[in-house]
Amino acid sequence: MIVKDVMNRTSIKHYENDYIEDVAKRIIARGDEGGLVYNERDELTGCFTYKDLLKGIVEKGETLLHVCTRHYKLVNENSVIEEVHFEKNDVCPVTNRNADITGFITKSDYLKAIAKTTKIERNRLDAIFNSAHNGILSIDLEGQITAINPPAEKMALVTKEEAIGKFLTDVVTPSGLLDVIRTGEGHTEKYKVGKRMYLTHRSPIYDEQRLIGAVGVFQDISEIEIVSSELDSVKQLMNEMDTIISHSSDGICIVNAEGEMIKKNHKFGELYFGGLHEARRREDFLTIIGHVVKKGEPYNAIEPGTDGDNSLIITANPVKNATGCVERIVMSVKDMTEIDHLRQQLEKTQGVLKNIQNEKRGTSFVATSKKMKKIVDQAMQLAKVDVTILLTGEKGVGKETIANRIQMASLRKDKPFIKVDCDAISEEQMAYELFGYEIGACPEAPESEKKGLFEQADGGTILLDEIGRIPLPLQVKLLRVLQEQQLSRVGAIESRKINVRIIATTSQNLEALVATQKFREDLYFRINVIPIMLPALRERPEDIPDLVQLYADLFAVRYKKRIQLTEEMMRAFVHHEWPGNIRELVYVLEKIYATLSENRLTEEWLLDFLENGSSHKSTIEQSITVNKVIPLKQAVAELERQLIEKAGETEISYRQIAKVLEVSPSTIIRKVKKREAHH
Amino acid sequence: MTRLKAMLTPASIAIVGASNNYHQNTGRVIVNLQKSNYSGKLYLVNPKHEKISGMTCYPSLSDIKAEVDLVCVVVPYLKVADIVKECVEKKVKAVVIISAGFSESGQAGIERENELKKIVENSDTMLYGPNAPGFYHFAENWGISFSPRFDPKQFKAGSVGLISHGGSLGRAVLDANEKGVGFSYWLSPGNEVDISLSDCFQLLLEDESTKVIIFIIEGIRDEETFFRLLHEAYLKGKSVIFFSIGHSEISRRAVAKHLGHHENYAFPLDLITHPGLLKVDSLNEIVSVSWLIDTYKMPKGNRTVIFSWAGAISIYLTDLCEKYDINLPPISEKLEEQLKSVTKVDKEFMNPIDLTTAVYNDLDILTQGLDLICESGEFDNIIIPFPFQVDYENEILSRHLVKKMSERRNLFIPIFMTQGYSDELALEILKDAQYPFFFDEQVAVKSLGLFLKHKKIR
Repeated sequence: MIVKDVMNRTSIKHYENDYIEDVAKRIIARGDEGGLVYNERDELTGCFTYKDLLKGIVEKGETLLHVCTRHYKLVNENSVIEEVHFEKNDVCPVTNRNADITGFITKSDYLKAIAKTTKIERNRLDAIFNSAHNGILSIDLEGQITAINPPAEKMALVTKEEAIGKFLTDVVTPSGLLDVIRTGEGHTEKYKVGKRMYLTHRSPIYDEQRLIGAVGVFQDISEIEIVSSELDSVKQLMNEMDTIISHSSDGICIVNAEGEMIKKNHKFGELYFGGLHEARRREDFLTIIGHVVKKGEPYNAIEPGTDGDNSLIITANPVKNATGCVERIVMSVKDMTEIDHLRQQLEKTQGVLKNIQNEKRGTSFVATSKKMKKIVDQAMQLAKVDVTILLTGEKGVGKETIANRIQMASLRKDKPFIKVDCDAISEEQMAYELFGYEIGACPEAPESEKKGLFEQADGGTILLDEIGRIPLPLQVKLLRVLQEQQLSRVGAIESRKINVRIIATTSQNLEALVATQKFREDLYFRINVIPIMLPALRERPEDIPDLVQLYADLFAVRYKKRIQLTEEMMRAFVHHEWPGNIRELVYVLEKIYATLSENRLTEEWLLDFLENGSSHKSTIEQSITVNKVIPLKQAVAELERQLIEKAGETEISYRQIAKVLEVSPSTIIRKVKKREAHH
Repeated sequence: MTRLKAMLTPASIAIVGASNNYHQNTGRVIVNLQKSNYSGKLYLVNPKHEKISGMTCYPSLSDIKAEVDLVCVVVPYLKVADIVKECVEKKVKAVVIISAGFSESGQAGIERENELKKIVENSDTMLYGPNAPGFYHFAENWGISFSPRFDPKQFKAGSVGLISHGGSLGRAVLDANEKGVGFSYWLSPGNEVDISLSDCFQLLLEDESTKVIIFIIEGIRDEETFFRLLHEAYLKGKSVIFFSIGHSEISRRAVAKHLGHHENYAFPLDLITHPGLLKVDSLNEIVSVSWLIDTYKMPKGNRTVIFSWAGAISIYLTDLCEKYDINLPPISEKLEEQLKSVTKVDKEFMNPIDLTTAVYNDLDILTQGLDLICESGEFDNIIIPFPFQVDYENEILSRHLVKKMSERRNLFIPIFMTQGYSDELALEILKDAQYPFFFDEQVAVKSLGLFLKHKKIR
């Protein structure tokens, strides 16, 4: 608001010689509160208010000359109202730009104007105060809240009504404003309330020189902090991208939808545009870009390279904006020379490797089926963990092979690995074999002491094949090895520390053995902590073709024969039940390769062989034929040998051989040992 | 006896790095000890302070003339090694390192950790941590903790021992203390530089009060020892609840940054089978099974009955019993007759028992029905659904149930089935009684199944 808006614009002149009474009448009639005083030459000489007139009447003055103020201050009509200073006067003459007198302004005009501007100002400030995004809060010198705006209410979780008049820290946590009223100095700080980050500026409020309070403006900058750190990481990413692009061995370029190059690396120019076909390439380039923009799909092609004898893989990928339009295209060019070379090398190496693998029987292993793959994965994972493992499954499913692989992949792979076939050791011998004995403890060797198999495996791994065969009294000793890592030899008074990883296998149902009290329940629970169940071959027929192929290749090398396996034959293999699992399959294949001459294998023969040949159902009459007369003793010995050998083809242990031949295991062991001694 | 015992029975504790800033760990540890019932001597060490809230603050550990049993270290990681050296020289029995910044923070941290390992090797000082959130000793109402919420005076001691990797999941389970689940110890040995999970396991095995041991872990370092102890726990009739986290590739990476377990595989937990091991799938199940064991100790038997007045719900719960291998034997003719006469309903009763909405007309049917079941002696465990919000029926049943619970003749599985807010008075009554109750029927029945597996070896 300027002076012009509130002044008394008037051209009425009061003269020095006018009678006070007349002047008073005049201004009352006009409603003026004062006026300007001129001399007879129409020069401004003073000014007055009604107070001056009253004084004149009381003091019995006659003319204006006696009461008017001669020390006036001219005010320009364009001055801002707040800038008007009345000093001792109550009225000021007002001039325009040309220094002509246009009227006057009284103190009461001024006050009215100020009141009005203040009100407007206040409304405006209130609007700002209330609509500001920032929280604003002010306090007086007593620290009591004098104003709080809605964002501040929200942040402090109070209403204005509740907050006003309360002590600052009763309403909000940060107490920095109190410092401001104490010191009179403002400050800016960041602070945290809960998880939110705030930035605040606190200022003192002064009335003239006098401190009357403080105001704080604060802002929740948590989002800004997050955004700023995101921006930093985006910048970092940009840098990384640039570095990657410029150092890539592939040519990379980024173009916009119009085909204008935005970024490209050195390699791109070299691979794509270098050489003879540059002009044609530029054309192709635009065609590719056009294609990608139109279809919105990636483009891939292989083209001959710039120098003719290499090839390039060219890919162009669209980068779409939110509306799905292609905004950028990233194009990359890869030189295939090296990859082509490597591929050839790889093919060669794979060929060589396959031959080596096939030759190394035992380490080769087929796991094509999902079931078997999962088991092998688990086994490999468990191999690295130094824990006891129980492998279960029918005879011939490959428990020992898995055990071997676990040992090979374990931390103990370079340590002793002792395999114990619990089936092959007689119960009487087992304690001596497994745990060893002290001098005098073994009746068969009273003079000596012996390290048991566990001790031999110390620091390494022991494979207890057919753990179910371990007799009950020894199970306690075994549990002690597991639980306390202690072992005592037969006849020993003291036990010794032992560190052995146990891998056990069983084809028996241990739970059933526990139920019939042939196996200790506690030992069962302890070794069964991690059971791995290997499925029978018939439960994973997917593996059969690969198994057949593997062993066919192997025996083809061993017996130097090529036997054609037709699809029909393969089907016969897959459909066979395989009660003896992989072991039976290997036996059948070896039999085929060992006995048949090349190309003699027919489907009929195979079906018949699978049906009858491998399952030993033939009658006794057919089994034994005498075609030469020899001494009976010699013949019996020969028959025994053949029988044991034959049984050994399908039965894996002496105990089982004994079972099918219906004699005691010790008989078999004795006979075998005797024969071995002869040789 | 496990060496960890010394850490839990110190005659004096020194906090190294103590400060008067109670908003930070360095000050919280003091406040949390002051809040507790720890009755031994407490020393503060920090060269920057002469006094902290009126207590003398020593410039260094060696300035304390008396013996110190336990030192709690809250200094920045670069200073930890020197403090631990001092501890070894002073023959401190146990050092608890709260400070982080070791193998979980990368290569430099791994080296710092190896240095710590070397310092305590072949010494009599044991080291718990670093990066450990502390431990709670429930029976004596104290603990080492920097938690902003720690009320050791409110501890309810009991038979549940908890070993957790990190603080958060452990603390989440410990909050069940307010429901009435009693704990013995909470142990969380951080990066396991010296004291390992197995040591903690050993302690809880030897602790008489502990009947069930919960593991909430990110990986085991010595699996075979763990299985050995698991078997031993089983032989002692203590069940082990095992909950492991970090099974995806991404979570494995997070594990490495949490406690410095850098194994890139998670133990294939599914493969472990042992009757002493109770496998659970959620925190809810952990707490539920523990609560049952803490309250009912050992199963009385496996004869279970469903006692309901809502038909479909009783059938649903029957399905769940089948799923979780819970035996629902038929009711005797005598009991059936009694039920008929009490309910005046002419129908053939079976297990699950459905009293029907006859209870709306006569609430005595509910209470008398429950009395009959309890007194028949035909069942060990009674599953009682609160089918939906009905106010009065539920309230009567709840009051009567609490009475029956306090007789301790049967085990009860009350289940609130409503999917609305459970704010009925019936629930408040059970809450006050502090006997186990459930909101999730799957968890409830599964937990009963697991509880029934918890028993002493023959």
